[in-house]
Amino acid sequence: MFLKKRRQAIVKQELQAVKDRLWRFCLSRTNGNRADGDDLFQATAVRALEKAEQFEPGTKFDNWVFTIAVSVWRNELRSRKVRLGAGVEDAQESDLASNHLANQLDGETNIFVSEVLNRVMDLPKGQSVAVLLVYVEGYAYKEAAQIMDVPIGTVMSRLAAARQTLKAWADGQEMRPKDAESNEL
Amino acid sequence: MTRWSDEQIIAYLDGKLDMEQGQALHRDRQFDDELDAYIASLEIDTNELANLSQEMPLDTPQFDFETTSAAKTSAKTPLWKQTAIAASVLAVFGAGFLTSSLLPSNNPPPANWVQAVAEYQMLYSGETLKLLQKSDDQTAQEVAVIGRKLDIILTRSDLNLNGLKLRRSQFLTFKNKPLVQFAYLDDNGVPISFCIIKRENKPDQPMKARAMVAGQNAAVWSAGEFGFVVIGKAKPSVIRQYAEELKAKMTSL
Repeated sequence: MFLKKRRQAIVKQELQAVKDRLWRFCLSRTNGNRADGDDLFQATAVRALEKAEQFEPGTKFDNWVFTIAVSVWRNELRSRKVRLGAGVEDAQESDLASNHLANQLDGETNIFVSEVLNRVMDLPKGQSVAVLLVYVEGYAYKEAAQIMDVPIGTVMSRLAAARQTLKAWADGQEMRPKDAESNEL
Repeated sequence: MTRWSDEQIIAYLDGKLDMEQGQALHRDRQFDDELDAYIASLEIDTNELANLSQEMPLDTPQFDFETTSAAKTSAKTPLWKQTAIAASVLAVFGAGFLTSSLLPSNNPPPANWVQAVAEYQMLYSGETLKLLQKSDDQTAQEVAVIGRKLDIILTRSDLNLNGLKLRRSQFLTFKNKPLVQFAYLDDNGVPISFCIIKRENKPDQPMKARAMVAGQNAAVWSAGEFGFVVIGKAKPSVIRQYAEELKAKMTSL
């Protein structure tokens, strides 16, 4: 009991230290949807406290807590699919399909000041998380794969797809989904 | 196209392929147009992304460990629902935030005046402002009265903005500090607000862009005993342009 309380105190402290990054990561998981992002942010904190005894002080807390966020969100998507009557899908599929689910909710634009980061948030979710972890957060491919709980090859293929899309958007060859929507109005 | 996988090509572009393979891929690229075109289609400025590591959405929620712990102890409630309950009690953003605006007694106060303005602005509908038709004289008089609340002399021309019509001037308070709001409508019926708060004399802050709740963008700065914000659901560059215009006019305050 004493160990658990001590670890929970450490986890609370670490959560405060990574709060901003965790929020950004949660937004990337939920395609910039703030309501979902906020629920995920709070749920991740709860789960981290529950699992506090499993955290080894001295190891990378951010990796640990991001992994928890991925797992919480994946479970949420599974339960949504079940609620929608679509049955259960495997983890990797749900990771790719989550973009569509999140977009059924009220997605918001311009979460970030930087247009580049907003573009990253507009990528299909598996891709936006890969780009965020590898290119923005600076994780090695292997670490990103561990956090996302996918094979390293999947991370690389998502990076390739994301690069192609970002390049096409930057060159104006393709429209971002949100730009296309606003043009229709 | 030659033998290279996405895994190798991405590592090559990121400078993480071992030297021997990197040189081989580079050679192949020179003789294989298809490979070269494919790699070119993947070339983006990753330094630009790395430089974003310091950029955070400025409205990060607060953890509420007590609320979430209480939710945790409620038996048989799925975790997601527990935290949804906690989040709705916290009611910080998005749908949760909207609910909390309607139920102010359950809602923690906004942490700072810019957030308070953003929350207030979020409730504005273009239709509300469209209904407010005032003569130029009435508007000028309103502006002068509002200016006096801040102990400054404000005129109608101080608040003129290209492409925007000033519809309403209001006197508000935030934590007992005077706060005024000038509400505009743009040509598309989108509300844009310019707010000034009187504060303690603190060092001046240069203009900063901020992303706020509900897709709003803001430009915030301060000078002397005043803080300023321009906010609305417009592109950051548009908000910035209005803010620069107003900042130039406010230098004499």
